[in-house]
Amino acid sequence: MARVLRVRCATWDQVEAFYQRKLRRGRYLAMRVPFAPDKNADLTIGLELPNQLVMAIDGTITSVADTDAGGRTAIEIHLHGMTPEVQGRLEALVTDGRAEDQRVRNRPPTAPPTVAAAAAVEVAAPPQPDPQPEWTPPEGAAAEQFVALEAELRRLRPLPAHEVLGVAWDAGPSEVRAGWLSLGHRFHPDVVARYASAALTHVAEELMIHVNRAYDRLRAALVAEGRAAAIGPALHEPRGWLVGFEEMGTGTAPSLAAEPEIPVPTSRTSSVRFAVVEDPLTEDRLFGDLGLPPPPTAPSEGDVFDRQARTRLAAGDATGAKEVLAAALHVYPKNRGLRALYHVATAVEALAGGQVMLATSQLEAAVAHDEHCHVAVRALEEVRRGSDAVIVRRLFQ
Amino acid sequence: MTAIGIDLGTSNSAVAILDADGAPRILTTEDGSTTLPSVVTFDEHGGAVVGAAAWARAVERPEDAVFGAKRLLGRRADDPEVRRLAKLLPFEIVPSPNGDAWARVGGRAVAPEEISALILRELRAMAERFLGEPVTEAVITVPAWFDAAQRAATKDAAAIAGLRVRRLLNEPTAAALGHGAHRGQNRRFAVCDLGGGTFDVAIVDVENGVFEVLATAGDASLGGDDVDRAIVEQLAREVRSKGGLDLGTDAAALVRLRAAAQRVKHELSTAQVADLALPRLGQMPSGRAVDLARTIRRDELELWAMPLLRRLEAPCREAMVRAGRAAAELDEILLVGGMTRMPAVRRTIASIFGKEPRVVPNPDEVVAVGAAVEVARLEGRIEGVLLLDVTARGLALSVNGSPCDLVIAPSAVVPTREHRIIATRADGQRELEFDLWEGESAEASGNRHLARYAVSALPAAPAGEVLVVVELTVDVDGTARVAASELVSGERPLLKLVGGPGLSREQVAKLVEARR
Repeated sequence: MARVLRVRCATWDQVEAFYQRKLRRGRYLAMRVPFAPDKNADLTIGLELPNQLVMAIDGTITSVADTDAGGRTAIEIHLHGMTPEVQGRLEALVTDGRAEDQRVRNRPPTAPPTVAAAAAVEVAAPPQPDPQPEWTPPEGAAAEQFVALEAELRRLRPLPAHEVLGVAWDAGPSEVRAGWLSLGHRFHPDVVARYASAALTHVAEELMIHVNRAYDRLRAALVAEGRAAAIGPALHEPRGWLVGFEEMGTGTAPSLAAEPEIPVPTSRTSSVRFAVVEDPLTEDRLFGDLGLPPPPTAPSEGDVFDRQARTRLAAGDATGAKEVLAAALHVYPKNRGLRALYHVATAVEALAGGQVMLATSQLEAAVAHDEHCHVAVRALEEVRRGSDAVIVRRLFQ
Repeated sequence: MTAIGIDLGTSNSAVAILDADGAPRILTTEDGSTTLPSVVTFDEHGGAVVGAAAWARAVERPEDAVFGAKRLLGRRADDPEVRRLAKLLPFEIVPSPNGDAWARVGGRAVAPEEISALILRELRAMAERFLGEPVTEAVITVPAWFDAAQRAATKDAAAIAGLRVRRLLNEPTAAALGHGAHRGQNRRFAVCDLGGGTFDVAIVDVENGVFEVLATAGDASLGGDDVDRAIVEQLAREVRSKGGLDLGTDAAALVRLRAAAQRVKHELSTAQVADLALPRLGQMPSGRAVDLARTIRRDELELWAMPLLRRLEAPCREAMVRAGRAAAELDEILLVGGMTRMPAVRRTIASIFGKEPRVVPNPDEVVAVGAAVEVARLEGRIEGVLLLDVTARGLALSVNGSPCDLVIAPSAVVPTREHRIIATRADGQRELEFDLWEGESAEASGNRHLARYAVSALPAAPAGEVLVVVELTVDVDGTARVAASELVSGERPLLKLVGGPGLSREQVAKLVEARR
């Protein structure tokens, strides 16, 4: 099958950057991917939009460079699926999405109804407080089932997740799934629905909840380890990859210069970069390394975000830095450096508002996430010494 | 206790049962039609007419008719989707006292639950007429992407109609069940459901009797009604260019044209040409009557519908990417919904998936048949089938405006339960309030407010020493419920619902009484 490469766009600006700047003339896209594909292989880009839609764009790999030390390969894709229609749809979505973001931002914070107001309208919500199931003792065959299921529930309750499903602690996706399915066939409330006994259905539901929670936990662990992909209720061998937004447009494929029909984009895009370098707060700085030859040392994941956030912090824009980092953490949820910096930004914000206690705890959290985050360590020293926001901000300059 | 299977659709609904020998039977309305238009009209006295009769009345009094109430179920009036719909739907959408989207019709605001209940009541009457005994239970189908609030609203509608919901069944699963997938070998389906108002695609796996909906995608404003509209617009344009008469302001002429367009569309699914004759369609300012007589070829219709057909592709591709499936890995493409009778739709779907789709003999009713199969399964007449589903959205909790804490992850397998422990913040605090949100965002503005609860009668103690365990349970139907207990004593303090969307139990009870 054609491989699917999912690209997660955290903001609508990134979506716009994708078709306006990342995509080169002739619908070529250069990017680094975490696998070594074959030339001329088909590759579908699944562009994940901020509103959870996924746009599928077909492409063919036109050139492949050598794999770098980090196991990433620079490739170039011809996105023949990026038709004017698809682009038009993306543009419309960006316009709508931004308008909606704007609306949400302008809206006063959602105020849940106050007690008095709610009492006045006398309303209640669909998730009602848990009603106690009507308990009537089951009879006949249902009673036997009830006793059996009740015993199973007592047996399974204290067990760790893998033992609930009856698999080894290091079981793979197929075993976990098989274990869960066999229990589902025995315990699902539907299996006992025919007895029409509330007590029996209740105990089956409790059992299934217990089994499902065990499955969800093992499944999440397998997905986090990269050993499986969770799709709907299913669990599969992983297929397809997820890459960060800034992997696009980097890593110029070596064959680019050798193929004259493909315009080398460096000059065009770099002029864009230098035109806006005056203003450190534009998105261009965020994705500014577009089309340039790779820097001498390969940037680690999320470096661009890191730099951008620090620039903003230096400029005194802690809120802006938080936004950038929040977007970055969406793409790299496990990057400790970024997470630490997020706490630092929160702390700077808190200091500006005079909340010293909050700032201290945020900085401690930052150091806990990344002990090598020098900024956090030094800021913590300063704060404990009683310095104010300005001095802490100076650390970034 | 007789149970029926109901397909509660946006524009058409159907009801089916399984005979004693397991053969599906689709029940008909009094005039012999297998589907019931999901239309309700109200008169001045509050009386309601449902189905084809309501259609006829809607022609005369369009302001008294509600179409597509399903789109409003469990939605807030300020929802962006609802605001977009408000421009398309003929009736006015007004906020209820607690912010829900209600329809303003016949001079009063009506909850979508009540409108859906009227349709369900009519379907129930159809079944009772055939069976000759009272029907009290039903399996009702809902789109797989319906969230907890929309599912709860569907259940409320059933309660008002006097039906106990045995299960809310996802439509793609129902389509596969109705197709008999539980009897065949392991298969991977793509279910494409193009109905009157919506297009839904789902990738469904059936393996050893286990049904799983892997991914869904769709277009909430693409369906047969749009094709009708395209025909009407084209014909109105022709009338204007030929005689200079603008039909745009003549509501009666447009309604006639609309009915004729629908008939032509149906005929062209089998025939190559269809005739259309509408004498005295309109009147020139001079008083001269304008007739419309025209022969429409199938390729003309396909040309007019082309912009709509193009929109089929994106959701199909999206569903495949989400499921991590290539088209070649799908074994069967199931076509559901009346619009899939149109040959051009079949051709378009075939080219998207690169494979001839499976033509279901009864695309309008297969979902209802699936619901009837589910009834038989719950009664123990069908063994070895397991339907697995996940939550459509996550559930989050916040206390006193704190960031929302995701409690139940999106796409957790249902039924499931998670808990959080919350604490008092002041000395001697006897009451604790918390909010329940639907969504995955940490910020309240990114989520939907589901409800606010108050736990009262807590023991008096210093701040932070009273701990309350809040348990969220999502049941097999995908609806949520809440329980709270005090951690130390294990006692269940008084849990009270303070506010939130949807109908209250009292409102439901009142509506049940009113419609009795």
